Amino acid sequence: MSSVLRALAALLCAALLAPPVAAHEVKLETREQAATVVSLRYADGEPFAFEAYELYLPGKETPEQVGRTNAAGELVFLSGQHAEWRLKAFSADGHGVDQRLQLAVPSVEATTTPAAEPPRVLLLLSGAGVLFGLFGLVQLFLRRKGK
Amino acid sequence: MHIPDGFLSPQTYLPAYALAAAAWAWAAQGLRATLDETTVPRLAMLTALAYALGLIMVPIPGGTSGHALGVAILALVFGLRASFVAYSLVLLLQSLLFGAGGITALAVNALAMGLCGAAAALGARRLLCRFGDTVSVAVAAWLSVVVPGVIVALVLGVQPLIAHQPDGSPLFFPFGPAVTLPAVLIPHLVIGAGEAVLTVLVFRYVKARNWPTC
Repeated sequence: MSSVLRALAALLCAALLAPPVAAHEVKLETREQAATVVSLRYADGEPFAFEAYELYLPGKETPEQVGRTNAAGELVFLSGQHAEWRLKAFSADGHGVDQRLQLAVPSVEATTTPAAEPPRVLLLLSGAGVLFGLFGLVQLFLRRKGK
Repeated sequence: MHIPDGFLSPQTYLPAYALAAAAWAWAAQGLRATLDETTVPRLAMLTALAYALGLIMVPIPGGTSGHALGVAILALVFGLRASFVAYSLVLLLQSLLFGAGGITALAVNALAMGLCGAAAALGARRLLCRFGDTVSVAVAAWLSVVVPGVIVALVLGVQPLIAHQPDGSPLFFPFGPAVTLPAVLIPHLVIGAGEAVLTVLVFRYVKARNWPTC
């Protein structure tokens, strides 16, 4: 009987000593809450997929979050009470962004803030207009000079 | 290939701006002799072509995409100075309107694509002109993409070496040349082939209309 008690005591001691060993174990907990989702895409609509990114708080040199975008070119983070962030995303071939993010509401509720960009065709035509306008001015200058 | 803002250290883009300013001044001086009432509309048309080409993304095997530059045809028709100025204008507009390339990186982009790309095209054309228009123009156009690709990859790749924190972590672009050279160059070897086909077609159009070429 005493040997059984000794064995149980040894087992108890082993269990008490176990926490430092158990610290190597990675525990998983899941919960659902609102988060900020940033989508990164190339100009042709292809997702900026599986590329490295870093998220910084203003004035900090150490990133709060690093990782890689998912297959859809998205990254998800919890902004907490911080509305202002800086996102750096790089691909090895030199594509990416280094941009400040201004979040309207720190992720308490799911909010969507689509980028207010003019249509691409409009931008393309505007650029072509600027080009032809500039060369038109050069032409005008040359004509006046020729007279 | 357009380097965005935030990828280059000030130690890179400030000297690049000084160099580009000198190159822009040199190119502008030569423009007066090149341009007349006939060449300006032609330059406007081909500059607009280069501007539009840079915005049309073409899928490349391997999951990435790329676009033609259009700098070779500018160089082959109008010479180095005019093509450098015109392509710098293209890069400025693409940067301001589409975010394709950064303002801080504009000088590096302009020097790599507008100057070195055009110079590579002209050099190849002159060296290979005895092989005929098609071969010399195709190789010139291919080099006008590949040479800037090498320069951009090297400029990106040296960033971790020249701008890093005391612990060695990079402050700007994080990948070294061993990563950037294949990552930039391999897709651009394919893009260069597309640029070559396109440039040969436009060059034939230009020749058919008896425009003077280099």
